[in-house]
Amino acid sequence: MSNVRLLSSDNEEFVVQKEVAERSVLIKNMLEDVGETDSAIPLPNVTAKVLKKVIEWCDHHSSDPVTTDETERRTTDIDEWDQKFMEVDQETLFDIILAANYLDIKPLLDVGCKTVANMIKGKTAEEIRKIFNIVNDFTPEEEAQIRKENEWAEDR
Amino acid sequence: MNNLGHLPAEIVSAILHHVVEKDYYACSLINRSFYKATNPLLWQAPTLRNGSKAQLFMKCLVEAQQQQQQHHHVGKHIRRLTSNVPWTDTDLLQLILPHMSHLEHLALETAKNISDISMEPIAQHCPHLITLHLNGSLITQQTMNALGQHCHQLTNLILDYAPHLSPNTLTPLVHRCPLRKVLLSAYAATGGTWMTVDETVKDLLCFRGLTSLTILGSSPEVLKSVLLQQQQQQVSWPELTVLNLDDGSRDVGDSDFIPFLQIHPGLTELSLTRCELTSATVMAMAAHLPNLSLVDVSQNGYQSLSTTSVRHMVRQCPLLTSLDLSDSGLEINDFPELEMLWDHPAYLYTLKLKQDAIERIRSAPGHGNPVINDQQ
Repeated sequence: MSNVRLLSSDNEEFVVQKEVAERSVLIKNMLEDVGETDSAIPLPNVTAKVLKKVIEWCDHHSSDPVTTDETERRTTDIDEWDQKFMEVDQETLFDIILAANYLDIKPLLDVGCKTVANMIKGKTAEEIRKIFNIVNDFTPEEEAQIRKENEWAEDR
Repeated sequence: MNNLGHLPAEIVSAILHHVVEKDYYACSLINRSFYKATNPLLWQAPTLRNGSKAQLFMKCLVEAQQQQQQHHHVGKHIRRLTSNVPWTDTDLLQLILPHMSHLEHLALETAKNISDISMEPIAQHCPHLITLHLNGSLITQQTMNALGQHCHQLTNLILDYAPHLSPNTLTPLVHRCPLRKVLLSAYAATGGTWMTVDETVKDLLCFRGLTSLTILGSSPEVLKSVLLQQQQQQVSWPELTVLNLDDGSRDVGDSDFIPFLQIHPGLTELSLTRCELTSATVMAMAAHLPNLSLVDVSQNGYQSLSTTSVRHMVRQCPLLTSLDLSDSGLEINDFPELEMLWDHPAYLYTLKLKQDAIERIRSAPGHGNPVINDQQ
């Protein structure tokens, strides 16, 4: 089993098994393009803290089958290990989501997005803003107008 | 710092992909970037289950159209409209024509007041239509002509009880619409026997991509010819997975079904109700249809199905999860392995077996090998 070296944006090096690193489609394609190489792959968008988490996830899921089934991807069920894995502060959660998107690890992106979707579930807009510390950038008129237009969907 | 309010648009839409419909309203009100990403989803597939909801929806749609600039009109997001409100032609025209030119799926579960007056212009106005589902409409050939002329993506055609249709109903769609799912019903008792062998069945055979066919309450000649045509030439519907035929006359039987089943091994759902089939057809299902997941042979004319044939089918079809044997000559007491269900009220008048009961039959030991020729 060959290893791959990954370099975080803050210059920390990680040595991981090739099959673990290849959960990332970005890294997989890079390795295919470059062929056998000794130099570390630079990942300028991912810090060491986040990369460590992402590697932990890839390692746990290294033997998962690849699922392209849209309905399976869409369910909001998250397995127990992933739920625990995602019990992090919001900043880390969004860092993981962004890293999964950049590294092209679809199942990890799904787990992250499902976690956020579950945090949104059943809440009002104000509650969501409060939980995620989001600034309301609507003017009062705009907000009133959207409420009026979308009223039919309020109790769907 | 990363924050839900400052994520790139692609991440916001990835999150919304997992948000359930109920939460769209709240998400549209979070902030501008969420509004932009949520609103198309919120308007995409309205389901209008009652008159007051339909009225409110209409009011909102008009309101939105008056307010918004032309580049962002909510009507263009509407792809799927589902409703059981008994609209009139006028209501429907007012709702669809000015607003929903991108409509792809239209399902009206109570279409008893709907006629060519609305459907003909709607066909013209909604060229992207993929699904048309009307329950109990008054449409005639005029609507069918308009569909054939304008809706060249029409794939699912469900016309449940449309008594004013003609034998040539499907003719305008032949070689124009890629029909895959078709439901036609015409009950003789209500004067709706418009299907014919020479026109309707001949047209049906032109849709080579058909995966699901349902014909309810037509004449036995039509049903027999649907089954027979397939045997004489090459298989006309190689992709067929769902077949539902309701006879009513109890005139279609084993000799019609068995040759058909032999050349359609891909069938997964098979409903042959009010027919005159015997255990021989059930044995043919066991022998030729390994992918069956749903079988309905209720209200059978001969009342002579054997438990042996049923057990054999259940064992030969490992994916079977639903089996309706109501009024087919069998009762729950005929299955000793289902003893725990004998007194269950659900089986007093029907024998509709679900997965757990089927599993019990499948795993029950010692009921021997089937006799192939029982009760011919």
